[in-house]
Amino acid sequence: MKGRLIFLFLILVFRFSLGFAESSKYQQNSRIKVTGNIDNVYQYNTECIIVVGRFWINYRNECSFSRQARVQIIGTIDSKVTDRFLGRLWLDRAELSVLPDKPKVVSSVSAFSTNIEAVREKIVNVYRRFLPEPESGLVAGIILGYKKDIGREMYELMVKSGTVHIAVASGYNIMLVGGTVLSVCFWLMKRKWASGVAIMAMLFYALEAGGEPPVIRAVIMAGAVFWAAVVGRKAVSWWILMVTGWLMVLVEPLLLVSVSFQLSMAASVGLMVLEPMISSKLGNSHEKLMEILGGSGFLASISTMITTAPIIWWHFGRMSWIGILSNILILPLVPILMITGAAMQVVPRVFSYPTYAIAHWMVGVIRFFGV
Amino acid sequence: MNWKRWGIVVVLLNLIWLWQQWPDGKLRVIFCDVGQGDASLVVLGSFQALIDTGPSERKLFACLGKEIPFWDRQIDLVFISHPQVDHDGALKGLLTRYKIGKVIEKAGNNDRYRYKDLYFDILLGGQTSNDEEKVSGSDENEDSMVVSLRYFGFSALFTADIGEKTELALLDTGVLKKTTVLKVPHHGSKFSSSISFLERLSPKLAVISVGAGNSYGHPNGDTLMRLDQVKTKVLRTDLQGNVGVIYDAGKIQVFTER
Repeated sequence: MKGRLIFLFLILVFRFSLGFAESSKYQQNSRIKVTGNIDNVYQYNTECIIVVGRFWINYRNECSFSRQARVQIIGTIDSKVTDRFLGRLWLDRAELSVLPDKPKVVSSVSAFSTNIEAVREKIVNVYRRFLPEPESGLVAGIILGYKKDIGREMYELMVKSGTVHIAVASGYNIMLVGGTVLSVCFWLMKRKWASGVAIMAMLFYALEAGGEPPVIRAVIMAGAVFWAAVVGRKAVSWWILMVTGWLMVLVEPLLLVSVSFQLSMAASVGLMVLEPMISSKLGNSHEKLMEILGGSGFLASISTMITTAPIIWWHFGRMSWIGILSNILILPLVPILMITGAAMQVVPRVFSYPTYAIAHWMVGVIRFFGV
Repeated sequence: MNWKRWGIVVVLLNLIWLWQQWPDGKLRVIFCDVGQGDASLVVLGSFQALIDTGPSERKLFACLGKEIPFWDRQIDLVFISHPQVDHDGALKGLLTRYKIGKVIEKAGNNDRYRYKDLYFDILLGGQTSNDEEKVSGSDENEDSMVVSLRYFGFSALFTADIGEKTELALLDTGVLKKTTVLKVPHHGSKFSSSISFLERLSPKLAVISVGAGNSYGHPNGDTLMRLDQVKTKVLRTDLQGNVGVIYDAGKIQVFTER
């Protein structure tokens, strides 16, 4: 274990050395002009963060820029660079102007991402076409983490009823996709190949689900577990969880302040550490009770609520205890909805009925507890 | 766990649920709360017609989701009174989600569309956005399509955004008759719903399709006073949400969302 930790630490040092070398090329307090396409744009509290290559600006005026828009930024290299070791250069007092589009040269990366987006829209269109609102929006949310079609009113009800997490493609969804594909493939091919196909399916799902932190974390973790089984190694869940978190922070240190990442990790601790702990403590003395609690999803729900509650309270100043009840009524149906929702892509007319029935029940529960 | 027993319970519950959603054969006219705009749904058995779509896809689809059985993804007729966002803004989205029998954006005066004993009479044919005859600067509101619905002893008049000028022109042609339900013209604007127009129609119920806190000040106080003068019950989508009227064997039942 000691050797492994030293190894991880050395990789961390190497990562930061690269960043340091990169940022050292630029002189502090020099005014520079950058022209390029916006790689990322997101709202952080009341501020708008815009990323163009390795340059970051905090643009306070507005956040209505689209990715890939061509811009010119003139700004000063900030002497108070907080993440110098990451090779990330913040431009202070930045002036930004949008340039007319250049004749389009579609890179293979953007063409790939456009295709992924097109497939995603095609999948969501099936729900739009065969299910009424708000059920279709909820189904797209649960299956793909697609939130555009969930109206503000429904979203607020979900927050109040403590069920908003079901509309996020999460580790739970990844495990369902991976587990189902693995089970089917076991019948058709060798374990090694079946694991490979399952990992590919999870990767495809993660891309379609928008590649949010919980999904990426889950793919790495599930991939590690499946691969451990192939090479005959025992997978220790908390170790995999720790290394996964470490890897993700290594690539994107800002994840540490991302609420989504914090909740995702905390929920995983609840499911992978706390739930088994409670099960083993109470399992011997209250076998029947544990069977009911485990089967209904109550134990998983309460474990994740315990580990995520402090983070929710810290960021949002509230805790939804009503969520325990609403989750018990909803969570056991999520896997069935995932299956019928996936089947709708093949035979929409037949499977729209069970999908709608489950989603309608969920909407009823959300409305009841969200008032 | 006895799966067989649970299976039977689930199937029975589903059958009851299906039976409860099954169309009852009564005529239903629903004025959807779509914010500042118009969208009225007419349902008779498995037949559906929509008069305008309103500006908001989400609000329209929420209304349709409530009023049409989930398995029915077809709307037989869609009338677009005139090409303004508050009347046709959700049309594009509607076409991707529902199978539409026919979209009527312009019709001839006195055209008639029929489903069994349900009649849609076009009193004014309307004008599309790409109409060649459209005179530059002409008022699209005054050129709105006006539809009269008749079903045995029940009638409803959908007046889109017409103003007093068109109301008086309609009065002159003599096509206006007493009506059960009036969709108040132009969201209750003071330049519409003239007293002579209202007296001729003398509606039992007037529905104002209007957005809460809109910047136009709709509905106008003068219009509300004129409706009061003709002793008409007024319901508003900004206050009551979706407003519905059910007609069955001579009886009228009114329901509201809020």
